[in-house]
Amino acid sequence: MAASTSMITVPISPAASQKQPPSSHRLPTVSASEALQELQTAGPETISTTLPSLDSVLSGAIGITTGGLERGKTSELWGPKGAGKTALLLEIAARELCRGNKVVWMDGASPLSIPRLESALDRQASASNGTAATSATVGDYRNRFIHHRVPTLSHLLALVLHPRPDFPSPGTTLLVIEEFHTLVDLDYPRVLFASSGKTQQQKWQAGRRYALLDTLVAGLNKLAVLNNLAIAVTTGCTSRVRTDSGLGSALVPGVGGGEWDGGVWNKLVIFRDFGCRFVGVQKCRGRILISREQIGETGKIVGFDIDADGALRQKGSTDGFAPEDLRRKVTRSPTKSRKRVIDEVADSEGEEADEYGWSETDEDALTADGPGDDVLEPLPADTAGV
Amino acid sequence: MTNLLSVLPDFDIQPYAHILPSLEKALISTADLLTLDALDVAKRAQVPPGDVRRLALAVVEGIHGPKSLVNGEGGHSGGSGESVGSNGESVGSNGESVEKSGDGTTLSRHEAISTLDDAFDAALCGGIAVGKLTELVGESAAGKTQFLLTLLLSVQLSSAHGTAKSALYISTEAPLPTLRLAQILEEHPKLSALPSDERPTMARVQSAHIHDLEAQDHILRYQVPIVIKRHNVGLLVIDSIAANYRPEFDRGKAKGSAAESFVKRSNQVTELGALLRHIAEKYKIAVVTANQVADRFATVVEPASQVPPSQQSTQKLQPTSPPYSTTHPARTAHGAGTERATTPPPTLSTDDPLSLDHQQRFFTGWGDEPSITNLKTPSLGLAWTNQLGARIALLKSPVYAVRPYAPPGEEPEIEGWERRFRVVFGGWCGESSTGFEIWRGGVRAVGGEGEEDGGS
Repeated sequence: MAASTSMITVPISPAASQKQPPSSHRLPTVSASEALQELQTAGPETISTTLPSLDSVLSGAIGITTGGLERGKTSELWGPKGAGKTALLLEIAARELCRGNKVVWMDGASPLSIPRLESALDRQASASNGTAATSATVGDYRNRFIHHRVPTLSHLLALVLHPRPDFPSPGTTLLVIEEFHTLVDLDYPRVLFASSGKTQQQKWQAGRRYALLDTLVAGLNKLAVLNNLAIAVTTGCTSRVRTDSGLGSALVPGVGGGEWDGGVWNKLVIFRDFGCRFVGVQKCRGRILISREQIGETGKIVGFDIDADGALRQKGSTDGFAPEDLRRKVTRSPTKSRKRVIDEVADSEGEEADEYGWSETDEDALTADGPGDDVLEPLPADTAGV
Repeated sequence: MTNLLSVLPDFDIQPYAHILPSLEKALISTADLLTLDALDVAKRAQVPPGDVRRLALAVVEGIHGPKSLVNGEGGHSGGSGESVGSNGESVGSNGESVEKSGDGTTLSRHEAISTLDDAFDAALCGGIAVGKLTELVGESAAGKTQFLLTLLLSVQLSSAHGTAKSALYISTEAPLPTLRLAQILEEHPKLSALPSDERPTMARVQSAHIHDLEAQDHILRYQVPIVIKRHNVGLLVIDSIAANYRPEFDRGKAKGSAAESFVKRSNQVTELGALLRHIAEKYKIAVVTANQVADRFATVVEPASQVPPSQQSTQKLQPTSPPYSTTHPARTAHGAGTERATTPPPTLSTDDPLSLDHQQRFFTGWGDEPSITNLKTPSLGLAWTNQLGARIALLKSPVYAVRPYAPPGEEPEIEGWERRFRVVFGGWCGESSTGFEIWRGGVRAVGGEGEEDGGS
């Protein structure tokens, strides 16, 4: 057994925090019924998104009235430029600051515009107090906003994967990483596919992007859980060709990959439309809400608008759930089967289209004169991972 | 490790000089060093793992900065008091000195270059932001160069409008139009009203020409920083950014497929954007690039019917079209009871809202108003759009002469141009639309402002 000076504390449930009497040598235990009761009465701690319908969609279940970005988890927000991602995150951050918590903000591309933060603070402070906030209190809130400039991916990795012991400071409830995709694209630009002409080292490098995203999402989740904070990452957008359904290109998140998508708890898309902006919830509480193809579908949507002075206003009913999006169902053309028969079809995980919709065999299709008796190149071995 | 010195310019590589070449040969980057286990890196590069571990630790230390530095980046503006114990650490060598202006909603004067026109300045919340990358996009003869020439003069003004600096104009197609610049200097009301010792001069406008892509990269990376320091440049203008890309990629390459050259161009454009943003931030200048447009063809625009979409039968995708009224039309709430006084939820105008075609209407500047029928797309695509801090689109549409007795079939005469100055998106200002005209003294806003929407 362990010596009396070192205790093994086993966290039974996230909500249970038992103070260990210093002289006790026993393992802390909680009865199962108590733990269940705690989980039922107190849902996961969340940070409100300032849009009530979005909060209720993110809560995932009827009955839990408070919802939003869950603490201890990572959420991803993506969308085209100018859609409203930063505006939404600034409102969320300002609300947290006004409630006495700290917020850490890391921006990857352009530095944050401080006047925007201050105007969001003014708004949230007057909203919570009912009267216009004094400059002293706004200054207080402002001091709880901790800003890190992360000009390169290495800076972000050092801050998040190798944090200083005092980072993040206690009382931080929200960590925002803006324009994450620009950092990743600079260090690990997309390669089309690992062609056979490359050396083994180059093939390894080509797979590094996804391995890095895997490591990073695991690191972010660990940071979130250990410090009980919510992490929000914005990932821009990029375009992908949709060959299967015959429709044109669509926007997809700027950062993708199986492990990244799996590690993110919520995924929100923020986009514009005529007359209104929308937040689409594509993944909520770990469950994917859109079809497997995952391109071009928005999931559950909530409408909002941004005022001339930057305030966010929800559009539409504020009672309960946001209704299912009312767009018309469209019958898409059936998925076309591939024109060439592939010999090695048993292991279907080898045939992967890369992010642009091109797959390994398409290059042959472009350059070859036509399907013939040529033997197809064997599919490459898995190059991701070291 | 090729990017080690760009991550940490002051890093001392002497103790690790013996392992760096092997790491480079094994294609290990700084980010790899920070994420991979030292043993894996050592095996891959065939170097001792202890050295790798020390190098990784040194890099992390270098990034975090010295322990004693408590630079509260959270609260260091003048009005909000001293920084209270925040653990913000200064990252790299970028000092964060943000000045707070009096009213808090516009950038402080120090941080923006005025456009010498009050309406434009209001739309931009003070002017073109310093430290950020801005794009000015429009068709040929839309007014981009006129606008840029005004900025070249405005940046030289001290205190009131810009900082007392020079400007650097890099052209890729036509050289700097000096006659027009002189005319603007003479005729602009705000400039001619200044006493002669405060007026901007043509001598403080440096100009250079770039002929091709490799020269562009070299000049921007190595020579521009020298010019910035030597002449105290406050504004860098590149007119236009897309010109050098076209011939490179139109040439059919035998070995590469179309997709490969597209990916390669995207990566180059991404690097260019990062370089320009880095220059803007490090030297505290404004970087403005002019960009060209290409035509875009949207599907046939039908008048939006008044029937609610849930009642329409669909067999194929309906083309997107802007509704005639941009205010939220009244629609029957789907399944909502009549007792609950709920506003109907907003609906999507199309069933494919995330398609590139539909979304391009909103981030290119053309397509989200029913009056604009001629759609344009800025060059260099989505990859370049993602690099920008702000995009300003200059739209022009013809105004036809009204001739009631014209014989049918005759083409209408173009009487003039209606020009609009649109802030499409901006990190520091909201979206807006302003009419303007080009005159002897440059550009000036006219008429009422269009819809305003977005942040402060």
